[in-house]
Amino acid sequence: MSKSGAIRSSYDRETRAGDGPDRRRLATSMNTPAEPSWRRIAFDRAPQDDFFLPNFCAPRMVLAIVLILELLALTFALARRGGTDFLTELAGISLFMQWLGLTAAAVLCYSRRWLATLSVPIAVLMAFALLTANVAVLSEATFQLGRNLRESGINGSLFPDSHWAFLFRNAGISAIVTAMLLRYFFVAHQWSLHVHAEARSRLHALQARIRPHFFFNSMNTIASLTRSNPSCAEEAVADLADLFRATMRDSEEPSRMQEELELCRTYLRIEKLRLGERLTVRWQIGEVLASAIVPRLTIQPLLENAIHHGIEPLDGGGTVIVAGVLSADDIVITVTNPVTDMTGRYIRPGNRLALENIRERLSLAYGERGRVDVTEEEGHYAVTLRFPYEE
Amino acid sequence: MTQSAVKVLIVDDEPHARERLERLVGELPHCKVVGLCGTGTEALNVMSELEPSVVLLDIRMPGMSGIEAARHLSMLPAPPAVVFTTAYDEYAMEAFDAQAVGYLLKPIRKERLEQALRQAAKLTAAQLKIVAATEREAARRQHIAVRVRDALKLIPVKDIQFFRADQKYVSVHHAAGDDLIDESLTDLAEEFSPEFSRIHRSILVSVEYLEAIERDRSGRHFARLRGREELLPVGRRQVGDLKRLFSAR
Repeated sequence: MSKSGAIRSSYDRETRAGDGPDRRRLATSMNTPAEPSWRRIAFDRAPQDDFFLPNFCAPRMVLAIVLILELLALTFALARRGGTDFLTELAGISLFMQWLGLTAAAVLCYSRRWLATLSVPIAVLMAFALLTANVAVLSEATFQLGRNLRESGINGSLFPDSHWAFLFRNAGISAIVTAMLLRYFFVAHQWSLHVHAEARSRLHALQARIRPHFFFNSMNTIASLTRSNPSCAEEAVADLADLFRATMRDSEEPSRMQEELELCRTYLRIEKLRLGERLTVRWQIGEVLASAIVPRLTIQPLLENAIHHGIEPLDGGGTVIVAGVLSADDIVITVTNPVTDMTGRYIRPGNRLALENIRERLSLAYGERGRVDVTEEEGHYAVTLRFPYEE
Repeated sequence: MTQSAVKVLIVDDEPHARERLERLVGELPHCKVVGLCGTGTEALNVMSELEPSVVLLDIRMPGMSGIEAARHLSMLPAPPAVVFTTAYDEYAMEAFDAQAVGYLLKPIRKERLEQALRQAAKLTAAQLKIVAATEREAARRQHIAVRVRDALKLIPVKDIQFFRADQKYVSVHHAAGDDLIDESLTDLAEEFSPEFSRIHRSILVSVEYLEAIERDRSGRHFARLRGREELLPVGRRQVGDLKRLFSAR
């Protein structure tokens, strides 16, 4: 309890500090690389580590560096002051810059672990120094190579002629670009941390709650049973405790279909005490789904809705049907309850709230592929959940 | 409190809840449980026979809600005092507090029950109407209660074909006959709109039973209702509305 409370209050502070929703939307739209972002938000404990520099050993990163450098080389070649041939100029600049960039990536790749142990300002300074040194060394080597080539009579027109001007110019450009990049990485990292924290706290805030109506009614039933049927009361207390424990658990922990269904049965045992013969539940869940991953507490609230809005208002009671199938790569779960004059006429705010909650949690976890649909047909009200199958 | 025992009727759809209340009331001095009912309708039916002085009414019950039952009870010649019971009902509780209507929160404490029974008051129709308006689920009744001597007769709203206002009373015309009630046509029109529509200054018909509009030689319009011989006059001002209603079908 205290944990989730603390998280929620920090979330409040964050949303007040920056204009949260807009920034989040922007961030998620930027955040669409190969690794699906929903997965990270939903199930990972935390981002891989807390260091602001990305991993420069990753192939994707290397490719990005090559592309960015080529664009930069193109810019320099376009900005040349006439005289030389464009393609020759581009070739020379590209060759040199790719060298610079790839060695810089290698340097950061190897030094990253060491840099991560330092404090952020020191790490920034060190990374800056390393990259500048890298440029200086390579520039010097290039110049020496050019001089040697010229001395041995080979055409060295691609190579610079003025030693110090070349060195200082490169060091200057490198210092500016490096500073900008480091700043960018730092800000981007802060941003992603913020987005991550926000998504987590949203998940916590959205975690299913026990409906007060259900809680007090259950307490009333237990109060009655303590005298008439103490062992039954004991069971009910244990069931209620299990249910509460489930709602307090970390919502990011994945849950298996079996666990979720067990939770539903626990909940139904309590409702059954209250409603007796009036409540019948039919299960039609395929065996294949038993070990599938289901976001915690997504089916139980649907049952609760079905009973609260569909069964309780019926004189003679009714049947709730819980069906689960595997359709293509998606899990499709449908909870159906009867609708009559007495039940269906009014869409109640409580119902919509719970559905919105589940909808939002599914879309946080699965993006576009997590869906909640409501269908109302002749005498039946059905809520369908659809999300990707995973084991 | 009087010397004779207070007669208490318990109305709740949950057996365990009834059982517990029965035990609690039984443990109080000067109180006696005269009956247990599972629905509001059942409670209304046993009133004249059991003559309870206090009714403990659950709010959320299938069929007729506790608040609707209380509205009907208040129309009895000698209405009982009503105490509502509820597990949790934010909106109703606010209204109860505002209207000084007695209620008990489940699980009910014995001391609270004793206090509520002592203070239980007869509720007025006006009080109950305000409370009903805040009931989220349905402020509208599902039945109209008609007083027949000392008892109440319930007419399901879906069986009602039309209401007609005469000088003093409003008559209800339904599948099983006609009855007089003590309510105003304006209130009824408000409560049952849009399922009921005003076709004349003094007539409110169920849209579901409307069959056709007819016109006689002198240009006056009449409505024909399903299962009714007589034609109902349509007011000149309502003709347009009624035609729109038909074309919308």
